Parts: sequence; C-alpha cells; structure tokens
Amino acid sequence: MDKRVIYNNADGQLAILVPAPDCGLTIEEIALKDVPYGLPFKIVDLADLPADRTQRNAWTVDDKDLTDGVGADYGVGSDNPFVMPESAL
Amino acid sequence: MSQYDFGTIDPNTKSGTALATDLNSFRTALHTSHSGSSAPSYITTGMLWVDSTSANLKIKMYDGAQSIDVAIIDATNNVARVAVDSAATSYITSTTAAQIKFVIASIDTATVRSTGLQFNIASPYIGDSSNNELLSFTTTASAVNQINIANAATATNPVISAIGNDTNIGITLTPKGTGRTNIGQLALDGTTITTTAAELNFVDGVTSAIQTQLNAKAPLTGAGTSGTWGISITGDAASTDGKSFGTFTAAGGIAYATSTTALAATAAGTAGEALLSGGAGAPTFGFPAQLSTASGSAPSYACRAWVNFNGTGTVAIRASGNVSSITDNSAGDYTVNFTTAMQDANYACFGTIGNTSGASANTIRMKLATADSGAPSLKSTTQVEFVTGGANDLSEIYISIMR
Repeated sequence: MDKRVIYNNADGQLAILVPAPDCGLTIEEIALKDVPYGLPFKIVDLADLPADRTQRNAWTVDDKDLTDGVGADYGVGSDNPFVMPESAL
Repeated sequence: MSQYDFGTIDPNTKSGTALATDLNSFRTALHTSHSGSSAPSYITTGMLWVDSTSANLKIKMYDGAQSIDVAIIDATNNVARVAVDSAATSYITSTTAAQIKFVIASIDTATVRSTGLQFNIASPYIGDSSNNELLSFTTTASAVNQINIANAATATNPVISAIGNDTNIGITLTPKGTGRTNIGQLALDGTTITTTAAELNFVDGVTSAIQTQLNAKAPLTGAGTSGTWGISITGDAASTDGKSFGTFTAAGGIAYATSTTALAATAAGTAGEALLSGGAGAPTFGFPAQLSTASGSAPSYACRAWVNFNGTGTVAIRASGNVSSITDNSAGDYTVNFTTAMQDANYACFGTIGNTSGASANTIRMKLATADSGAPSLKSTTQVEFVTGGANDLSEIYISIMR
C-alpha cells in the first residue's frame, strides 16, 4: 500500500501505521482498528512522509490536521472485539 | 310333364270312352304335379304345381294372386332348396346329411353342421337387432388355433381360453389406436394383484431387473467393496442424481456414516473451518487445537501471527500473517497489530534481526513498561510492542507469535 496512517499516541509521539499488504483489510479499516480508540488519525500518501528517519523522534503532527477519523470502539484500545469483514475472509 | 283339367263331369253326356280319356290325362297331370313352363290354367288358391322351365324344377304354391316358390330341386346336387326368395338367390339347402347350408344372394354364407356353425364368408359378425356389429370375426388362412369360451356353473368363472393344434398358445389383446386394455381387477395364477396402476407406474423407466438396480445403488459394504456413491440432498433442485439420504437442515452440511448402513448429516460450519473427526461420533466443523504431528507423540502448535518488515527509510512490511499493520512509534520502536485477536495475552514472542553492524545495539526485544521491570509495555490480545537495542532502525526485522 502506498498509504500510511498517522496519529499522535497517548504520549504525544507521532505514530505511523504501516499496513500489511495482504491482510485483506482496506487502509480505512486498518486505521479504524489499529489506531487506539478515540484518537484522531489521518491517512496520508507514503510520499508525504520523510524518507530520512534520522530525526524520526522529532516528527510531529498537529491534532487539528488529523481529520480522517478516530480509532473505533473495537480493536486496539477497546474492550469490544474486532470482527473481520466478510469481504476479507 | 303335363297339365290337364277335365272340368265338371256330366254323366248324361260323357261317354265311357271320353271319360277314360279325361281320367288318363288327369292322371298324367297329377303324377307330374301339374308341371309346366307356366302355371296351370285351372290353378286355384292353395294349389301346388311344378315349374319345369329349368332343369332345376321349382315347386310353387298359388296364394290366390301369384305362385310362390316353395322349393327348388337342385338337379346337380340332388338336394332341395327351401325358403327361396323371389329371385331364387337366397335359400336354405343341404348337400350332405350332417349339414344345412345358408345361401344369401348366391353367396355361400354359413353352414350349420352337427359339430358347429361355420361361417363361409371372410368377415362374418354377430349383429344386434339393428344389424350393428356386436362381435365380428376375421378369418386367418390355414388357422389351427382359436379362442374358446366356456360357461360356468355357480361360484366358478366362465373361461376364455386359447385352444388349437399348437402345444403352447398365448392370447393377444390388441386395443385400437391409443385405446387401452382396461382390466377392472387383476390376478395372476389365482393370486390377486393389489398393486394399483399408479404404484406400477413407479417402475416406469426401469430398464433392468429392479434388484440389480437397487444393488447398484445400495450402500457399499464389506471388505474390498468398491463402487461409485451418488449422494444428493433433499430439496436441492440442482441435484440430478436422485438418491436421498435424509433431510439436511442446512446447506453445507456433510453426510457421515453412523453405521455401516446409515448416514446422518453434520450442521454446516462457518467459512474457513476445518472438518474435525469425532471418532466414532459425528464430525464437526471447527479449528483444530493442534497441528498434526509428523512423528513422535509431542503435540505441535502453530505460529499465530508473523511479520517480516523493513524498519529503515520507508518503513514497509514485506510479508506477514494475521498482521494488519505495524505501528512505527519512533526510531527502533514498533508495535505489531494482529488482524484477528489472540484468545489471551499469554502468547510467546520471537524476534530476529538481520543487521550486523553495531553489534551491541542490534538486538530486538519486547518493550518494557519500565527499565528492568520485566513487564511488557504493550502486550495485549490485539497488539504487542518491540524495541531494538539502542533504538536503532533496522532493515531486517522478523517477529513471530506462538500460542
């Protein structure tokens, strides 16, 4: 996938979700499931991220730019189980 | 042949010689039965006379208006013909002692013999009072076999049977066109057949012995038995095999043997499940608790999730199983997110790296909540977090999860 999901974790550190290519889920489904419950996220093109990771720990993003959704009430950070979509089976 | 009438004799005028002449003439006429080519001039009602026009003499009686043929003497066969019509073409005659022949319109129609009635025409019939055919007959050349009808005393059945010269003679009933031979009640060799016509129709299409066909479709039993099973599910319109082993409650069920002669069905599983043996009991769909073991008795367990990724530059997953994503938390800090959650967090984790430079820093381990605490920072049913030694990004990182 040429997409990544970015969000700020509970410590305020920028986290980047790297989707597994053949997991059967769309990038949107992965974002909803793997972004911790309630945290806002944004789906960005891979090319929008710096290729040089030398300053990786200094990368930041403003929460107000994370406008594509929030982690769903299932999967990571939720007590509710994630159910694999039928289309991915 | 003579005809003569002497009229009224007057004894005062008829002399002895004249009287003798009249009596002689009358005697001749009497002896020849007043025969002549036409009726006598002195004919009177009730008089019999002989018409000698033909060699076959006709005996006629005068009814007061005309002379009616009473009989014809057949000079060829030397027999009499009686009940003669006006044209003399229909009559009754007898040419031998044991028979009487009926001739109708010059056709030799039937002969009544001491042994029976013979129809001499090709297509005789017995008609009703309106001359409609009740029963007709067809003559077969050189016939030797025929039908016999026997009546019966009380409590016994009349019989229609085949008789004749041949040793074995069948009886053929042939309807006309699409007509059918309709039998009200049926018995074979005295045994009543209770099967209905509708029941008999169930064998429509059977092309060989029914037992042979049943054997071909019977459950295969016995050592070394082989053959082809044809199984269909009742209600499956797509099935054409036609054999049913019961009603399956759900599509996707599997038939299994409950004995050597009976089948039952499992409930349908869900997609992805495997069929698990129930020993002698019913098999079920589900996920096996263990992998099959190639050798020895120690059980085998599977890897429940794995991922191979590059943590440098553009971080990317090369391949994975049951991993939906990894989270790039920071340099050398990654979280593996499971596609399908683990049953609990008591799984074992394994990590391997491929880098060799900076040997002391090139390790990977589970991230701890606090230094030297031993407790993982993040290890749940849905994700687990790893860090590399020295928090370095590494290009070859392989992680697997066992449970």
